[in-house]
Amino acid sequence: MGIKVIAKVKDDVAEVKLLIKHPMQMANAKTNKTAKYIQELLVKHGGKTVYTMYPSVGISENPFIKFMFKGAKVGDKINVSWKDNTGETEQGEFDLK
Amino acid sequence: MQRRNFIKIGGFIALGVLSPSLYAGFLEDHAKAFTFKSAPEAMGDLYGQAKSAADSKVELKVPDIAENGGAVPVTISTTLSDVVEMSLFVEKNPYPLIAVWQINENTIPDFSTRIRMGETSNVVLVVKTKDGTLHTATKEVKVTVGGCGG
Repeated sequence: MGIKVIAKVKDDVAEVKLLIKHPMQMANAKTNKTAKYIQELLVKHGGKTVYTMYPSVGISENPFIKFMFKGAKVGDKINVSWKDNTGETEQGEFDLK
Repeated sequence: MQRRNFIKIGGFIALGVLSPSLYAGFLEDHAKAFTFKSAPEAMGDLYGQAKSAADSKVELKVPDIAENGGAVPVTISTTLSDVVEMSLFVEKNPYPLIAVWQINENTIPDFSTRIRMGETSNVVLVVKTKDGTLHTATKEVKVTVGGCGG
């Protein structure tokens, strides 16, 4: 697992690119694999949620996400967190540049 | 007096029961939407009988042809105001609902990601506005090698 973030601010808008290491695995009866996929992905900035996504196995392995939000300044921090269907979670804090 | 207190307490209890579903309950309420095998059923779970219509203010950027169905780049955006939710469907995928996005106060409704497509299919973007109406954009993507195996 692992979260990589590139986040740049221009005027007061932050452009955030996320790359999350996760299998986003579908269940497969033939290979006995059980599903493992991120169900909830949240990004918070200064106490406000700025990105709320509920993904499924329809999102590719190692999800790439790009989004933008208003009210950002260089040096601010964002908190990225996800939870998958097996209950596993990960979170990290990142600087806006 | 006693009656008033009862009403007060009742009100707090009601708030306590309601608030989780208002703030953190999307998956509790709609996890089932991701399990439907047809796009109309999944849409029905999310939006009930809400009216939907194609809208030029809703933009869905996908390639015409995807060589690798395992990672098809998608950008979804809209110039509509008062957007509350966006959702993306691949009609012919085993589970057509790909993802749901909720739009917060500071969120700009312009997202990119990569999706899986098992075969050539229509991709449908649904944008829900505050008034409860649904605005859609649809595009077909031809898939050369499907990405729903494994």
